[in-house]
Amino acid sequence: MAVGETQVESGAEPATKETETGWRNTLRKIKQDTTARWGLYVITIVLAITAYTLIDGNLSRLTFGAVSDFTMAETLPIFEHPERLPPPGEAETNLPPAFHADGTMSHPLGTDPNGRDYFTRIVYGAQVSVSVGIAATFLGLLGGTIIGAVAGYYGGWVDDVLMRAIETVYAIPPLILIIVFTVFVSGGSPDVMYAIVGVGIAFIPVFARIIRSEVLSVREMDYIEAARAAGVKDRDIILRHVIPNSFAPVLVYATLQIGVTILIVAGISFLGFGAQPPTPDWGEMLNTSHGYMHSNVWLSIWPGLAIMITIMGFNLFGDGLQDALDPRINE
Amino acid sequence: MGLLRYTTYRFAQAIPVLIGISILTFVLANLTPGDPVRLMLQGVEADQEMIEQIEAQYGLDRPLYERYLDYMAGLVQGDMGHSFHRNRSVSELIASRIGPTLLLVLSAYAFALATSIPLGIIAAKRRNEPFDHVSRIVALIGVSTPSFWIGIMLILIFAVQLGWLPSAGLVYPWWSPETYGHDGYVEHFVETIRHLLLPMIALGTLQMATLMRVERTQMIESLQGEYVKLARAYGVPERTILRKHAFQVAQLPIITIVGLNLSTALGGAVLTEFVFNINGLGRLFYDAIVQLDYQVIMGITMIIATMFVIGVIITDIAYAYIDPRVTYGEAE
Repeated sequence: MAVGETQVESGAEPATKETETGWRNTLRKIKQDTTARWGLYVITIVLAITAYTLIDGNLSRLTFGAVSDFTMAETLPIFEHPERLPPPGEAETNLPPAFHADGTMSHPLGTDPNGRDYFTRIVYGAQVSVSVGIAATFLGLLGGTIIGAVAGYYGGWVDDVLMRAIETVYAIPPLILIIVFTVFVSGGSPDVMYAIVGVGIAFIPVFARIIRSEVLSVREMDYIEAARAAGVKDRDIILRHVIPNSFAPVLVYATLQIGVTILIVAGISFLGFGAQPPTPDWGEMLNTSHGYMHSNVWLSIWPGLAIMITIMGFNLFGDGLQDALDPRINE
Repeated sequence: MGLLRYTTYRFAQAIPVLIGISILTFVLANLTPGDPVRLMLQGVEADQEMIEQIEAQYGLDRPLYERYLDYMAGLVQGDMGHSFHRNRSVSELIASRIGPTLLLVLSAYAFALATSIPLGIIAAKRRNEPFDHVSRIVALIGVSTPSFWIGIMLILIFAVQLGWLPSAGLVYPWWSPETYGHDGYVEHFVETIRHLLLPMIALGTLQMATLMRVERTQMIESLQGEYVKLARAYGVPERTILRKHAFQVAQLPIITIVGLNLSTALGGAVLTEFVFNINGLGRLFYDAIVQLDYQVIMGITMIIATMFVIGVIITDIAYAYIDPRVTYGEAE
């Protein structure tokens, strides 16, 4: 059935031939493209921050349920602890940001209702928000590539069955599917890790479709015929020839999809079904600040800005990449 | 194939997908660690006897496939099960909540279409001029900003700071003005709009931005088409070219995107209803998830997926109806 067939057509058009002209050419085009360059700057900064929070050792939330001990390393002096509450009596709660008359320079973005430094929490929020977005996209890409390649390569009833299954998953709006998956599979206590898997499953359809339509043309190539005649096993043909030759358009799509994923994960955490307090996560912080909308406006502004800037980076880069790979524009 | 046959064919094609959705939601809800009863009873002191009693009441002591067939038999007759927490039938609950969600989603679409198409056309016409640059930046911000955050910001500005518009709830136009103490239909209408404005913009911005980008690209491509060149050569006024020749062709992809984006819009409705405290399906879904009211969750998932599937079919048919080049369903 054709739920969303057209989307795949338009998404899959560019770049089968581009792989042959080489990645170097693409890179050169990205460098020339202002949009892509700016996107790349933003992504680099965001990823650097994410990487810092991951190796810093103060907080590693990307483990199933377990919270790490905060003994490994000292944080940079500009940061306070992202989760630990200040001792009672000493906490300065709901401070406005530094540029405000009541703010102080020691808390540039103010403090949250528990007295924690908000700047630290925004920075450490990147860890969960960004890496979950990337991990979930990768999972969807992996699942989608395998299913799409198998369906496209074998055709016939295998294709029919897999595609019907894909359509089923596609018909449930991702946000709904992910929440239902997360809540049921976690047995009623949702967490980020379940959300990653949920997002991965929800995004399998889009990737599977792009790969499948690429594979349909690749499988008719002479080298596939040759491999088959030489007695190469189907599995090896798919892994060594079919997938590598169908991959370029999906990669572009994946970059754009990371932005969408971060957006959706933020929404899930905002509703309270993703990252759980005290984990610093932009969506979760917006959930907490929702109750303080009238008393402390700043709490709702910073996490949203962080999400917006990050996603904008991925969108800019993805757009630039698409332009660079689209043969119609680069005549 | 005629249009009528194509319509029937597309709806028939949707049946396996709908069955698939029912299986998927059923399996998800029933293969959880700890069965539904234990989920529902979280936080409640319950002994084994009570659990067994509830299991028997809901038929949960029978094999999975039997329960699924039962569930399906119910679905066909419009019975979606029973809400454990609200002690009402799920169909009734959904029927009472679907109105606000439809109002919200449709008005968000109206907002998105009414803004994106003119802006996209002007941007295409003035390609690489300041207007184009500004509208592209606006579109980029639109696709990069979470709808719920836009909602929060709108509330902060227009409800909290300026006090111009209400920050929560909707006024339902299908209820009588007296219910709200409104003075006649004019006030009723004005209040409906005032309540709808912020959630509509919050939910519609992403749609607007997506459609604006597509409209711009399509119009640019369409304005470079051979037929436009020909029309220009014949001396057809630029206005007429824009309106008639370039415009119509450029709208086809918009139709498809409108259908597909229903998926994001319906998901976004959950967030928007949460932010603006609107008692629609999304809010019901949220509450059901928090209460682990699993038959309600399954029912809403089914309904929302069905709405999406039907939406896509309608846009497909509209596309086929408008585009003379489409040979109904014989492509590929």
